[in-house]
Amino acid sequence: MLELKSVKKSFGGINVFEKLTFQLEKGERVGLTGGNGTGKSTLINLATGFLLPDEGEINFGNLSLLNLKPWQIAKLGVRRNFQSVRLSDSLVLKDQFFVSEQKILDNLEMIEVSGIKGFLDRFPSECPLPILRKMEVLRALLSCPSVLFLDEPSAGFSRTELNEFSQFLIQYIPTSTSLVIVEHRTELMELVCTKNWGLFFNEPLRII
Amino acid sequence: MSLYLVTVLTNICLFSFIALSAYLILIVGEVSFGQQAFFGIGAYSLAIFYVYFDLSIIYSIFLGMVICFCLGLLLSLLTIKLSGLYFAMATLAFAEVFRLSMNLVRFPIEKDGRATGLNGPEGFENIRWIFENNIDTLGFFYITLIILTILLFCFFILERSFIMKNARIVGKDLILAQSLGINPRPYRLFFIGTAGGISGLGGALFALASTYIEPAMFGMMLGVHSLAYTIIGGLGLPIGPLLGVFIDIGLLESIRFLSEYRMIIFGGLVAIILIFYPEGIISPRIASRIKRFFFSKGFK
Repeated sequence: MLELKSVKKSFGGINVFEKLTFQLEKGERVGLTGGNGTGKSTLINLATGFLLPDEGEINFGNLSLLNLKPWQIAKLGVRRNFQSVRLSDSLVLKDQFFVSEQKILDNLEMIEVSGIKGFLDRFPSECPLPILRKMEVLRALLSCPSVLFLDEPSAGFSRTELNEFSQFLIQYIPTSTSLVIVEHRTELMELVCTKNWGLFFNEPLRII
Repeated sequence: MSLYLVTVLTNICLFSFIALSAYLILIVGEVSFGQQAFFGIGAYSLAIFYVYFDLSIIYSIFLGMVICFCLGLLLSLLTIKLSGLYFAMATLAFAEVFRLSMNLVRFPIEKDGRATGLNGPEGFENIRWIFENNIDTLGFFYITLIILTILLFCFFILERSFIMKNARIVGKDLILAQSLGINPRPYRLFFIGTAGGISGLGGALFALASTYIEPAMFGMMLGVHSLAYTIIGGLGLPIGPLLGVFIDIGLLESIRFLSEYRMIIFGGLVAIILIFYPEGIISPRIASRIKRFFFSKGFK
C-alpha cells in the first residue's frame, strides 16, 4: 500500500538512508525502533511529504507521493502525529480535532474511552503530557486515515498508562488502517504491533 | 453630541477599517506594512470614479473595493513564495510605489467652477459628495457606523466558520496545518485579498469625509499604526483592533493636551501593553476563555 523504494536521504553529507526499502500492507501494524539518528523521524517526514528524498521512489497505491505537498498527502489519508506535541496553545482541546462536529458526535465513545474527556475544556498548557499525546492520536484517528504514523506516542507514559493506551489503540484503530509506531522503547509496539523493524546506521531494515 | 466628538468618532470608525485589514493579514501569519496603500487606492479610486466618470457614489465605493481586492490578490500571488520579513518588505515596497507614483500623476480638471482632479503632491481637492447631498458630520458618522457594523457582522459570521479556524492554524503553525490536510495557499490569497478590499472601503469613506486627499496621507506611519492597533488589541476577536484604534485616536489624538505628545505616549503605551499582554489585550487565548466561560462544557 505504502512503499519507499531504494530511498536515499542525506543531511549535509551524512547519509541517513543509503538505499532504504520499506513496505507497508493494508491493515498492517508495524513497529519501528532504532537508536538516535538512525532516521526514525526522517522516515515519517519522507512518507508524509515534509521531506523530499534525494533519490528513490515513494508510492501510495499506484500514486507517486514525490510531487505531492504534505497537505495533499494528508488528504489522501496518510496521517501522522509529531514527536513534539503540536497543538495550538490558544484553543481548548475540543476545538482542536479539525473534523466536522458530526464526526465528533459519532465517535464520542472513542473520545470517552481514551480518557481525555475531562480535559476537553482545557487548554493544552493545563493538561499533562500523556493527555496531549492521546489528543494528537485521537485527532489523527478521527480523520479515518488509511496510514497512520505515530512518532513516539508513548513518550512520558507510565507503565499503566502504556497498557491502557495499547488497549485503546488495539480497540479503536480500524482494521483497514495501517499503523506505524516509531519509538525508542519497544513496550508499546510489542503490545500493539505484529511486526517490529529495527533501523540501524547504513543497513537495510531488519526484523527484530 | 458636540461636533468635535462626532469627528473623533468618525475617525475611529474610518481607521477601524484599516486596522481590521491588518488583523486579517496577521491571522494568516503575515505582517503587512502596506495596508495604507490599499487605503489610499480606495480613496483615489473613489475620487477618480466619482469626479472624472460621474459614477454614482455606491458604484464608486464598490469599484474601489473591487480594485483593492484584486490588487490584494495580485500582491499575494506575487509574494506567494515570501513570508515573514520578506513579505513585509514586499508590501512596504508596494505601498511606497503607490504613494510615490501618486506624487507624479497630474490631470487637473475644473468642475462646476472648482479646481479638482489628480494633482500630484498637491492632492485631489473638492470631492464634494457630502456637500452636494447636504450630509452633515453627524449624518456621515452614522453612514460609516452602519457600514462598519455590517462589516463586523460579516467578521462575526466568518469567525464562527471553519474558514477562520483553519486560517488561524495556517498562521500559527504551518506544519500542523499541512499535516491536517489544510492547503495554506487559498487562505493566504483570500485573506490578503479581502484585507485589501476592506482597507479600500475605509479609504473611500475617508476620501468622502475629508473631501481632499493627498499622497502624503497614505505614508508608512498609517500602515505601522494599523499594525500597532491590531497588535495591542489582540488577534482573538475583531473587537481587538477596534480597541487599539480607540486607545490611539479616541484617547490620545483627541484629548487636546495629549495630542502634542501623541506619538511618544502611544509608543510607550504599546510597550507597556505588550509587557502585560504579550499577545494583545484580547488574545486568541482570552477569546477561547470567553467562549469556554459562556458556552456549555463538553459536546452538546
